[in-house]
Amino acid sequence: MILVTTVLLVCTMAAQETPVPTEQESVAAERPTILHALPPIGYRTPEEIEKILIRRARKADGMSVSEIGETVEGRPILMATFQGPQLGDRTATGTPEILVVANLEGDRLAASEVAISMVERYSAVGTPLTERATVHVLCVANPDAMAHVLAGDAAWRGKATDNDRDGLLDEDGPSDLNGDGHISWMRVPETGGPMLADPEEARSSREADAEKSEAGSFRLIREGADADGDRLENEDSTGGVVLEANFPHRWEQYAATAGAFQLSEPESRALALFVLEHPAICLVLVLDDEDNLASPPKGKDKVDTSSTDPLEDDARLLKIFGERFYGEDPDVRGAEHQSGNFADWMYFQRGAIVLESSLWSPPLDMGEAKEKDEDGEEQGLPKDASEDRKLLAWADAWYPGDAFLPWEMFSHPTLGEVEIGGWMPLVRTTPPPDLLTDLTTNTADFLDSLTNDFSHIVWEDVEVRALDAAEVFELRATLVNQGLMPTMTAMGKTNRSPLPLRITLNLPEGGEILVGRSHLSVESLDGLGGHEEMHWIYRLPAGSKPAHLTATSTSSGQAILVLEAN
Amino acid sequence: MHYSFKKILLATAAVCATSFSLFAQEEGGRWEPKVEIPWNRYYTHGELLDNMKRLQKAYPKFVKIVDIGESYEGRPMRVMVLTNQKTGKDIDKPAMWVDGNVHGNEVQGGEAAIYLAWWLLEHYDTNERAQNLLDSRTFYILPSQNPDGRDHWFNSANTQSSSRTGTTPTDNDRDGLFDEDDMDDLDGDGEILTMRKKVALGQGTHRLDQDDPRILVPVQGEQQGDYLVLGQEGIDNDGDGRVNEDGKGGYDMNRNWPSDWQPNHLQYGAGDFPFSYPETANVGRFILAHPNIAAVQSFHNSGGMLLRGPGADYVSYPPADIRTYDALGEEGELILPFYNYLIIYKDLYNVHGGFVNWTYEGLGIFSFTNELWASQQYWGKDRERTGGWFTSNTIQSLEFSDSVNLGELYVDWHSFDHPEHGEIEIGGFKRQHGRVAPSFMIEEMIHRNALFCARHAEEIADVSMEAPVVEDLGNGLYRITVDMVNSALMPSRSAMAAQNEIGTPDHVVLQGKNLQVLVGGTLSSRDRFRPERLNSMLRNPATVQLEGGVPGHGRILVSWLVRGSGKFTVEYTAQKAENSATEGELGS
Repeated sequence: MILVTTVLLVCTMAAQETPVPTEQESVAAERPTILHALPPIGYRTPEEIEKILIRRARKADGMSVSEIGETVEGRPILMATFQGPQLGDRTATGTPEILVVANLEGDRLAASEVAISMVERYSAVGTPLTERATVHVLCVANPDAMAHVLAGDAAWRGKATDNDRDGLLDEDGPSDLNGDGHISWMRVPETGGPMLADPEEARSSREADAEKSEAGSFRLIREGADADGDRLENEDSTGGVVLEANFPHRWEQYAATAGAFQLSEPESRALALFVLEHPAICLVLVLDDEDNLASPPKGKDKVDTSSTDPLEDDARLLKIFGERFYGEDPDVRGAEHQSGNFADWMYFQRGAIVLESSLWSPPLDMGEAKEKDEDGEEQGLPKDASEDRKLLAWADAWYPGDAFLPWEMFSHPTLGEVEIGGWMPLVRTTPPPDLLTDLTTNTADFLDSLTNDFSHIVWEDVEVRALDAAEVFELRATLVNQGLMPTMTAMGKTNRSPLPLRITLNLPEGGEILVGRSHLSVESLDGLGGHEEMHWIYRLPAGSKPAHLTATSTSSGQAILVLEAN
Repeated sequence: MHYSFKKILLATAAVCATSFSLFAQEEGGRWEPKVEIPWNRYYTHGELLDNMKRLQKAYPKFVKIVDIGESYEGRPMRVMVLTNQKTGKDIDKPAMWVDGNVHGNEVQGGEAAIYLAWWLLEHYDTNERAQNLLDSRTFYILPSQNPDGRDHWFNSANTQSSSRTGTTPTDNDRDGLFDEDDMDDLDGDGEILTMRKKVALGQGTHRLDQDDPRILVPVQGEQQGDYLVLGQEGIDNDGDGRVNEDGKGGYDMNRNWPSDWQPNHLQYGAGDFPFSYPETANVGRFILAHPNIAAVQSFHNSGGMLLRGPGADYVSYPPADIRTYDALGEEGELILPFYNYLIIYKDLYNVHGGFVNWTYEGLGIFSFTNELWASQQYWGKDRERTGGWFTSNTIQSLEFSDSVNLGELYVDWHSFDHPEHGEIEIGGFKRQHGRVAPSFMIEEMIHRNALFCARHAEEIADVSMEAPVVEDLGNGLYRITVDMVNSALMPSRSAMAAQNEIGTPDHVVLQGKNLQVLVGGTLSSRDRFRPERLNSMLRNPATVQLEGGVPGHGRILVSWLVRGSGKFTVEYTAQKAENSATEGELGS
């Protein structure tokens, strides 16, 4: 085992040292000849990331690492923080905080890799963000699952469970039956089964189309035996609760993967408590399998307890940030929103701006027909080829012979003759490590670009007018939000989790407010010039100390006006 | 099912009468409890714990006290574990959880919970059914889910309805400050009463009642008012123009449980997430660690109700469970005069994330919330209303205070110089009136409610196995059949639990030295000559799994085909019913 690891490491380093074409160059070259490292080669483990975090925090100014919790298996959950400017007092600094959360699923290795690479970049050369905001980065949100994935297992975590209710725990999961070192897939012959081999590409499995009178011939399941003799395969595999199903929005009470109750797991609870202790977190970037930047939702005019789409006003912001992150028409395909996920909780219940990126998807246009030959026949894959065939075309070009195990006959102990083979794990969801530098640069540049977009309140059009010669003044002032982001999202206005802007007019001794209140609140100011005009009349005897007009916020700065008595 | 339940009731009533007459003969009609607890008063949290301690000292073999954690202010939360330790460990017996007072001001649930323990203990020697309950069941009794709220209700100035919350600081008015604008006992009389102000005729919203000037009547139509109602005693402590809008705590711990939990903007007081308060987390941890809990009662006040879920229209209850609930609820209406058996969301209001919703919908436990004390009980009858509900209620409440309590429950209006409103009047009912029974009626209230719990616990599944029937099929092959019989109303697994695969199913296990079990399963028909109807177990046929448990007042037939000889045992194990075993012999 040790030997294998060493060899892999050498490969990784070799791969990183050799200049490799970027994805676009490879496409242009049509048939790349470079052998790319197949994930997880080239990806760092939670333990390696932990060491880097601690080392960096020790050296870099303004960076700290805190252990916000511990996983079921005892791994630390580490939050890296880059401190922004300190304004105001401790309870209302006004300094916005942003939170990057990577790899809640556990098998999204690129998310963790991009996150730790960003931390490395920030700690080495800094980021303009910290001139305005505090940045928290959770590089490995699900350390146990990630460690299992890197050990060749599934992305499981948590205590053993009895999925099939037979009194035994985790006794029948997928296994490497043919001893090829991989847990891959089985085609189990079944007359009238749901799947068939694509007639155009025998390796590819797809659903039989009943409307075209197609009959399936097998079912496709993970490689494994009936370990507990109940005539079911792989029905009680390792692991329990899925973190991305354990948060309170759309939590599914009776789903086995959702947990005994909301935030029942130490990892999800640690993250949620961190969020609740940092009310200034106004923007979250979730790097995982879902993606609202690649395909921003249109938004709805109303939300309810089953919503997955944001409110229209907030969706507009997603569109702006989506284009900035990916450019136009990105070919990145995120997963469906899972019930009880972190991102939805942050948006629907905490009211933060929530951005999600899955970072990368394998290109589907690799083998697509581009030109017609002399006979007018299209070369390459037709446009309506199945996604699986398109992925195979990409994988054949990128990882010739490595990404897909050929189907081979195998005598299964209970199912008879089956075929074992199919996609290697991780290939379809994990970018080739060659692309990580670009993905990191893009993500970090994007975050840097937010520096001047945070909501930011200032007093404008301030007018103090004496209404008499002695002591009565009229004050008019307008509070303006100069940033692109609103001081509170539309969802925040609905769920009332974020605090409004608080305005206080403090008069020195002897002063008295004649019209208006000493304490006001303004629920929210829209981005790009949202404003609210305010008006007071007060009495301030000559010779008094100045009055103060203060606007305080949780994450939109602080604006203080000093008003002299004359 | 309902019919047979009534029959059992009659039978048990007869047993009760017999044992009472024996008892009276022995004691000469005089009853002296070992532990004297005056049941005509309410106790602070510390005093409740003292009473528990006294019971433990007097009955050490029946009472254990378990610390389950602390409240926000550091008060200990202690569960009384009540069972006859000689007949088995608490965790091995099916159990009932009884608590009270999750709303700090709803104090009487605490006394009712302890009364249940006291009554059963004091009657163990003389009452067969009390004995049976303590021998075969466990009671987990937490007198107060909210010790801080409870003690503040006693020790601070309060209204009839305040101190409902716990005391974790909360920013109710979203100004970044916590609990900075509470009610104020302006006149220092230890009560939070109502403020009213006399204004010029035509400027008021109310006028004084012609017959009783203590009563404010809202003006209607052409009438002109000369009084304004200014709400509860208080000032604008934080200068934001609002009064009493951010008091101590400010949330509802009975909205902080997992089932159908919704955030604060949809459900007032829900907290940041389920179990976010130390008190609910302590209770949740205990209940999750005790899957033997088969029945729940959570006492509240008031209104005279036996409530069950759903709390909101998000889930429907399986018909079989509704029949069980209905039977218990109907008996409850009999035990508790003026109480109505109601469904929370249909008959009362929506509750998201309520405690008994979690214990039933989330955990599959038959659960009730009794709302102790109904206003009809002041008079022992329904009285006719004169005028609107509020006015009529006020009139009758004043009559009760004036006539039955010599004015004790009411503070007459008196003037006060308010810093913001100027000259005002303060007056109204004290907190001892309205939601809690007056002292002389406490014992009846808590006895009836406690004994409803006893009845609920008696109806926890009681599964026994009849002697196994062995059929010799020749050539060393046998069929073993066992009848599982549940003599109680409640199934060993609620349909809710079965349908959603909550908890562990019941198991019936066949074991023998020289036994080869070929097939095992339940018979879906009682026809023993139709073996093809056997719902056989795929894996390990010796263990028959009962996802639906044994139905209330019902039977399940379990059958095996075996080869072998000699003795065998059949063991039944269940999370929410007592385990049992029987034995037989092949070829005898």
